[in-house]
Amino acid sequence: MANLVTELVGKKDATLGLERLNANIAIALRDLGLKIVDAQKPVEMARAIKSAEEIKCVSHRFVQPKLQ
Amino acid sequence: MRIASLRATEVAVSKLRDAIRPGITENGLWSVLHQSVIEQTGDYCETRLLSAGQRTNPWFQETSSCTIGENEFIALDTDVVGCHRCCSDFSRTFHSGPGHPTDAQKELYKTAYEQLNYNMSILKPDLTFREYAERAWDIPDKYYANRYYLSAHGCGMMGEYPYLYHRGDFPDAGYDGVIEPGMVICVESYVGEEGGTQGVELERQVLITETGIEVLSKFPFEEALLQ
Repeated sequence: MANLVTELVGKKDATLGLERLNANIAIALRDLGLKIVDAQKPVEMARAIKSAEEIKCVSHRFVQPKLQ
Repeated sequence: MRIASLRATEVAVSKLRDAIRPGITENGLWSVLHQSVIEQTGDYCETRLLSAGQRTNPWFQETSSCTIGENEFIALDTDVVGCHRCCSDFSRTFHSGPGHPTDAQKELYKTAYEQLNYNMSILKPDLTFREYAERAWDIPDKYYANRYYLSAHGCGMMGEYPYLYHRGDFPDAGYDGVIEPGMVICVESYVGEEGGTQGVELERQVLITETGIEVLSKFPFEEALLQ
């Protein structure tokens, strides 16, 4: 996982936000050189505005399109 | 036809309501919700919030093996992570029967219902969180100590940003922001006197639109408690 992040961002000490996962994973990622921060706030801000698709999933029925 | 999360949770709550009878335990009744949630491809309940009788006051006593008695309140907050991993969060309070609700029970229920409807009526896009707090329904003194810790909150995959606080709590706990179209907000009310024998928990899930709100949760209220 750490290698993938490094590859995507282009540096070993990339900042990685984590939300909900086991503490030992967070500790291990930090020990591999990543800068670990709490992602809860930005994730919740991003999730605050729902897309039309999400509203369908919550409340409005929709018909699954027939497979062609 | 894939079912929306709220529709599935409403089916589950309807089954729970049909299963109400004095003599069943809180856990036994709550398990009816769980079975129906799973049967409809839902996920889990985020909290353990079904309580009855004295255990409805104060709020937040977790579902237990206590037996539900006659003519008492049963208060439920669904907090279901349902179909498509979408949270269905609404609250209803029922009466276990077989008798009719007392005047005291009706007063609590009608008060919670009033708080809910009033706060829904002031919600609209571009309102700030602080403005909402200032305009929200005035909680009578006798119900203030046991108020729910929030007036309303965001809802998505579970309970989320934003938290809308009561006027009195805003200075210590509140933060400002803007209510925007596309937000899903749960408006909530708990009404019970401090030291009281019972309380009512009600909640509705709404979508903020370009012009106001659209009510998403459709489960009916108890006519016998609104008379």
